[in-house]
Amino acid sequence: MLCRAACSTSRKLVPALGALGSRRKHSLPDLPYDYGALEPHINAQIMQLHHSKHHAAYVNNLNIAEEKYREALEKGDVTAQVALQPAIKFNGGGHINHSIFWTNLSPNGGGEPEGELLEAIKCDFGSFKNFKEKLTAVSVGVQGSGWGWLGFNKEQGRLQIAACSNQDPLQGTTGLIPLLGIDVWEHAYYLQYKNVRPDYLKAIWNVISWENVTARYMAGKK
Amino acid sequence: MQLHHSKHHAAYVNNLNIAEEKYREALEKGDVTAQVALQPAIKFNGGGHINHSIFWTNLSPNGGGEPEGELLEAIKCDFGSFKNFKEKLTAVSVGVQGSGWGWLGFNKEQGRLQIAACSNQDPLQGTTGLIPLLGIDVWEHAYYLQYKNVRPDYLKAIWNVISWENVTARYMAGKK
Repeated sequence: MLCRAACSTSRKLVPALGALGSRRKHSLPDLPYDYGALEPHINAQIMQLHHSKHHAAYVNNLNIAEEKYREALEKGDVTAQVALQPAIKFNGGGHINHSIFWTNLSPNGGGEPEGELLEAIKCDFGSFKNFKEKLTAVSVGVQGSGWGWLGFNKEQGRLQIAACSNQDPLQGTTGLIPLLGIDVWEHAYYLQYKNVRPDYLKAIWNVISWENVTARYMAGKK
Repeated sequence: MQLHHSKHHAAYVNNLNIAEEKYREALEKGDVTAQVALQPAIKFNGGGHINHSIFWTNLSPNGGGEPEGELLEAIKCDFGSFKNFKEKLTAVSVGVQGSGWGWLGFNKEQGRLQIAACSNQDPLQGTTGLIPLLGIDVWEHAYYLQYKNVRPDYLKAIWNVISWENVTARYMAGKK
């Protein structure tokens, strides 16, 4: 179950149709824990809607957009391809981001990182406390919908904090390797925290899986 | 409504006042860098204040139904029918990706009505030149507690509380 959840997209092969060859569709990854597992920090109602409605919609709409894109490619229709870009970016980004997010969270999460990741955090941010404050501030400060990210800049060999708008995927838009994402779309917290995004940020640190963030860091460094 | 007005809109007002104060200081010093750095805060909070101030007047417990007179004629002229217009504004509002607003605006230069979408709190007139007549807030905070992820249900419902009196008044003022 952990392996399935750690994969960024799980794909099922669908039998070939006509000349287009085999189609691989994206599918909604299972949540690695029950909807209520992150309570009291993130409640079950939010987790259920977030996973089974919002993320599911990104997956469905991504598959639809990719299908249309395949047809446009087939016809060499550049105009249609360009017109489909926002849908691919939005739904594809939504699928990528949430697939990472579910694994970043855990009912056994919280506390602080250790080992190499902690050393890197101290190196690039001064201390874990500084890093936490910085990522919190960036996440709280997102205007509108978006995400706060801890990313790894492979070229420069350092950790970086970044914010992305809407569902813009971190790696696709900035080149940073995503390690830890904080979803600050209102649907991620409103039912429980209402307009008080800072309270959601305070709470979410209790369910961060440093094991997962570390695994992403180690994989990114290779 | 209570959270939307007393928390969200209030925060835009407070933060706009703070940003304008800082901007005044930057102007005083001729500090262009600081002015540019303050632009997002002015646009976001200023836009939020403008947009919501319009929004509260666009809605009414006595709202709903259809417009009449000159506004209805203009809608028929520019969209074919009220039904077409309603479907178009609904689709544009539902289709906003992320946070933003759907708008019925008046293009004074061309003398016609237009539907537009804006991201985040970008104010319609400041960013497009269109005169705002009717705004539909599609930030999740505008509907999530009641409609959850089903934005289309919120759109279906909101037509029941649109004050055509107010939208007409804005149209008539815009035409002058």
